[in-house]
Order: sequence, then C-alpha cells, then structure tokens
Amino acid sequence: MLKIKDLCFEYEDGKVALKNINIDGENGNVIGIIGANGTGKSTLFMNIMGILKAKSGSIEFDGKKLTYDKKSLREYRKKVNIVFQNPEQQLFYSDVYDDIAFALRNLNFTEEEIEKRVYDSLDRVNSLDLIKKPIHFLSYGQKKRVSIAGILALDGKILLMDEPTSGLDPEMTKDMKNIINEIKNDRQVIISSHDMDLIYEICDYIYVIKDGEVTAHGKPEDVFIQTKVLTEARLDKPWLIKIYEKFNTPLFKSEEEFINYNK
Amino acid sequence: MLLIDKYAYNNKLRDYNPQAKFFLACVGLLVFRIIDNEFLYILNIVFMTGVTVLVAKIPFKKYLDMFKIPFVFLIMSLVTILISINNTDYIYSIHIFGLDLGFTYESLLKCKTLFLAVFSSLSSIYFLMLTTPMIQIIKGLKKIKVPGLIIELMILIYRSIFIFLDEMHNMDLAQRMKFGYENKRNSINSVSLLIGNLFRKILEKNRDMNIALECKLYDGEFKVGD
Amino acid sequence: MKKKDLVRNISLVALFSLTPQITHAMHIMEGFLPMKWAIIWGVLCIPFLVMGLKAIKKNLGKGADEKMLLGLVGGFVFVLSALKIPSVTGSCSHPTGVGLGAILFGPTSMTVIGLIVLLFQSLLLAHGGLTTLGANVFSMAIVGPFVSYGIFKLLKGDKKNPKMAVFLAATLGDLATYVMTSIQLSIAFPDSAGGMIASIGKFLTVFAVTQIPLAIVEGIITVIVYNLIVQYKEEGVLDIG
Repeated sequence: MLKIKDLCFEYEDGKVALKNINIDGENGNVIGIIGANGTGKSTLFMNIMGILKAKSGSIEFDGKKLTYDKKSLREYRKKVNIVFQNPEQQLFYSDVYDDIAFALRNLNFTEEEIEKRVYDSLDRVNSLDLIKKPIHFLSYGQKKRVSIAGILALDGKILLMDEPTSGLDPEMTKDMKNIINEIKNDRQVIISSHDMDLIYEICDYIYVIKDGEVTAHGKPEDVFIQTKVLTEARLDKPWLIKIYEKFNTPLFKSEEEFINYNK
Repeated sequence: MLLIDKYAYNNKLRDYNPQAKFFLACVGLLVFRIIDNEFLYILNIVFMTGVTVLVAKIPFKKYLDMFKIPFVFLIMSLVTILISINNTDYIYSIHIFGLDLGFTYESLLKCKTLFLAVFSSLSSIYFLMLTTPMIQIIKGLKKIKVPGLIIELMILIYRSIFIFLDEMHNMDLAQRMKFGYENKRNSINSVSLLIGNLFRKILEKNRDMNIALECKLYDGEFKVGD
Repeated sequence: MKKKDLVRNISLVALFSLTPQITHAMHIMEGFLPMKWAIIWGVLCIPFLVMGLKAIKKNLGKGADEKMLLGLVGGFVFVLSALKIPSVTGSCSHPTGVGLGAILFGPTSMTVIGLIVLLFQSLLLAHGGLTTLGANVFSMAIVGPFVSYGIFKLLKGDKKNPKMAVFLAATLGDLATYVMTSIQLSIAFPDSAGGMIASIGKFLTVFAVTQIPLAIVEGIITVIVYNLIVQYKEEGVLDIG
C-alpha cells in the first residue's frame, strides 16, 4: 500500500514543482492523477519511483518510509513499477522475448520462471502473436503493449502508468481499457491521463493536480461535477458527466450503461 | 531503408539452423577464397544464388540490386589494378603525361579471378544477411565467445539504429516540406541542422532511457538469452 | 558536474572522432582482399580493440554507466551514413560526419563502437564486408579518428570555438582514411611494374576525384555541426543535467 505524505519537490534551480502532495493508496484500487500539461504529474511519478528525491515529505510503501540508498530503492522498485508514456524509452532489445525478460534477468530469475512470466505477461496484454517479431517492426500500439508486458512480468504490487492511451486509436484505447481492467485484479494501478472519459470509467478515486498541488480529490463522480475546480485546472468533464448534468438522467458509470438505458 | 533487415526476418529460411547458415557462408567466404579457384567461385555463385532466391524466396530482382551497391567501387578498383605503369608486354597501352599506361594479359587474368572472387564472396555474405536475422547473428557471435561487452553494445546499437532512423526520417521529411534541399547550399545547411538535432537527441534519449533502466532494476549488464 | 562532462565529452568524441570515417563511402568490399591480408589487418586491429574495451570498462567501473550512451552514439553514427549530401562532382555521397577527437574517452574506446558500426554496415547495408572488416576498421575506426583527434588537440589551443581546428581535423581525418585505404589496397595489389609505390599512386589518383571533395564538404559540415553544438550548450538546449 502506497502513501504519499506532504511531498514537496523543487528543481535544481529552486523552482517549486510539487507542494504538499498527499495521496492515500487506500482510497481506491485504480487511482487517477489528472492535470494540465506541466502541472507536475510526471514529476510526481518520478518522485514516487525514487528517481527524483523529494525535498520534504515522505513516500511510504507497506508502512515503510522510502529511503534513497541503492539497496532500498532496488527492493522498492521490485514492487512499485512504472510504464512510461513513450514506448521507445523503455524498449532496449530488438527481440520481444529478451526485452520482456530483461528486468527478470536482472533479478536472476531462472530461465524456466522467466519463460513462464514472459508468456503470461504477453498473454495478459493480448500480444502472444508478437513474440517472434523484432521490436522495430511493431506499430506504436504494439510497442506500448510490449512495454507493459515487460513491466507486468515483474509482478509488482503497484503499477504506475503514465498516459497509457496517448497516441492510440479508438480501438486500441478500448483494448488498453480492458487490459487495465484485467491488471487491476492483482495490483493497484495509478494512472495519469488526459483522457477524462477513460479516467472516469476506470478509476475508483482521482486526484486533481494544479500548479504542483492537489486541488481536489475524491471519487470520479464527486470530483467531475466540481466545474470550478476542473476549469481552474484546465480540464474538461467526461461526456457521461455532461450528459448527466444536461439531461438529468441517472449518472452512468460507463458507456454501456448509457447505451442500454431506456427511459 | 534497411530492406535487407526486413528480408532477414521474413524469408523462408529464417528459422533454419543458424549454425548451418553460418557454416555455408563461411565455406564461400573463407575456404573458397583461400583456394582461389575460378570454377569453385562460379559454383559458389550459382549455388548461393539458387539457395537465396529459390529456397529462401528472396525476389531475384532485389537480390541483383544488392550487387549494384559495391559495383562502382569494385570497377574503379579493378581498373586501377588492371592498369600498370611503364610496364612491358602490354596488350594495349596509351602514352599519356609522359607515362605508359596499359594492361597485360596477366593482369587481365588476375582481374578476372578477382572479379569472380568478389562476386563469390558477395553471394555468400548476401545469403547470410538475407536469411539470418540480426538477433540470431548476435547470439551466434556470443556462442563463439565474442567478448560480452561487444555483444551488449551490439544489442544496444542495433536497437538505437532504428530509433535514430525514425528520427532522421521525420526530420528529413519536415525539412523537405520546407524546401530544405532545393540547392547545394541549402542542402549542406539542412543536413548540418539535421545532424546537430540528432546529436541533441542522443543526450535526450540517454537521459530518458537511463531513467527507464533504473526502474527496470538495471544492474549494469544487458543479459541475453541463448 | 563530472557526470555532465562525461556525457558531453563522450558524445563529442563519438561525433568527432568516429563519424566521418565510418560513414565514408570507401569501404573495401567483401572478398576483395586476399585472405592473407584480410587476416593481417584484422590482427593489427586487435591491440586497439583491446585498449578500447579496457577504456570503456574502466569508465563503466567508475559508476557512471554509459553503456546506453555508447549504444545511442553507435546508432547515431550508423544513421549518419544513411544521409546523402551533395558532392562537388554532382553525385551524392554519404557523409562521414566529422573527424575530431575529443577529450575524456579518447579515440580508443570509439574504436570499439566503430567496429560494431562497420559490422552493422556490412550486414545491413552491404557496405564493406566481414573478411575486410579488419582492414576497414583499421582505416576508418583507428587511423582516421586518431589523426582527427591528434590534429584537433594540436590546433585547438585555448579557443572556445576553434573553427579551423575542427575543419582541418575533420578534413584531414577523412583524407587519412582515404590514404590508408589506398595503402591497404596497394600492399595487396602491387603494380606489376612499379611495385607498391606505383600502386599507391594509382589508387590515390583514382579515388582522389571523389574523396577529396567529399573530405572538404564534410569538413564544412563538421564545423557547422560543431557550432550548433556549442550554441546548444550555451543556450542550455543541450540538457545534460
């Protein structure tokens, strides 16, 4: 369980990036982080992963405060993983199998265990057919899925996903939604995205970030009706919320619910 | 770009035993080259071409195109070797700049053999290149005990090649849309800008990828399976 | 500060000591050299490669892990050889980039990168060959870069933007490669009347037409690129933090 307490972070030049961020992992299984570009979402993720060191405040995992020595960071990152927005950034091999096996080989897993996990992970992202393909022949969406598989193989407890659907077409976005819905069954997912509809549909709890601070948090249906908060954060409302507000229909949680509704 | 790489991954002999492929190529590249017999060269050319085109199903025209690549250099070099200066026994010669330039019967024969030697070697290496994916080649090198650091760098460089090819392609396209290559002066400037940009990307990507490596528990080694 | 310099300097070394020679269009093709010479040149490369591997390992051990950077530099160098620049003679040539040697790593570790790039060029682009890898590495990844590095160091002085040093290092590095390749060819194929010396003359003459203009154009490009990099650094665009 992840808890972020009063996290403050400053860049080298003194510019304050994060101010008193409090995030409680117990609030939900899938937690969404939303905010305009440049408000600090990525910086927050870098802090959570221990890549950037907080100026003050703490990151607690399973009750233990994160310390920045090599050994602690290593143990921590076995359980807390991240999938970056740009797949090119995290694919190192030209062979799909080897790339997914990379983190596992770093941890000295046996080749039998590695084989099992590689196939499992690819299966979970519906990409078993890619196993023999070289990475540079994959499409953007396929690369995104292989990057996820490479992280799923670690079987961590918490998965951070930075803009998992950016650059994906509608069909691939649906696929990604299904993948996240499947992943959330065995770990907590923290996702940042500009896709308000996605956030609304899959998150249990969300945090709104503006200028490095949390300006609102709560269940999606509670946060997304706070027009003022959203406008100030330069965000938009999910369609289902807009429909609810305009037509006074019940608040639908998903597109299916909306489609199946009969007055 | 990199059509050879595409064929290497999409040919009918892709999954065939890599060691056998290596062995076959080496016979032509090493053994036949040392023996230096014209008949063996021709045999090799025919055999290698047959396997490449008929078995691996590489399109014949594309295969022929590959021989065009070293062609200019080959002809220039052969002609240079063919012609001797101030020699005797010329079959044909001209007198120019105070020198006798021409070729003898011997040099003609030598060049003919060399020409065949090159074509034979090329057909062997092309066979290997077109039927063996790079990843198999890298793993093969690992098997013959090439130093681990070189293997790791090969893996990283191979991957990086495609990252940069993409970047270069995008930049080049953008430059062309802005008339960056209309004349010589523009071209030199545009190319320099492109190179400068690509260089900047090295550092950007290095920073980003090292972050990803840390998150993937990188411990200094890029291990690879067999 | 240390790490920044390391990263910058490696990149500079790569750019300036490696790119020109490697992306040169003067690869000796597969099978051209008699096996005897192919092996000899390969053997001659070995001490440099061993030195290079040692240099890389030493720097890796210092905690600044630059393997990924070396990988990216290698990819960059390879891709440069795919570019086309206009040559004076009207046809297009592939640039060789620059020929400067920079500081920290020196040209020795770049020999290793050069080996791998040349290997990929032969296997992916059919430029060069496996049997001629030794000879090509010697002229393009050893002689060229060392000459460029030497000239750059010699002429650089204290200038912040040593344009002439850059130009000469690049151009002369290119020319050194071209001369070395000509020597390699003439040792293997001496003139039947004039011997090796005459042969060198022949090869130098024949290739001069393409190589000399190429060297000059690349010298110019190198200066422009070097300027850009200095500019980027000053503007802070090159984020090495």
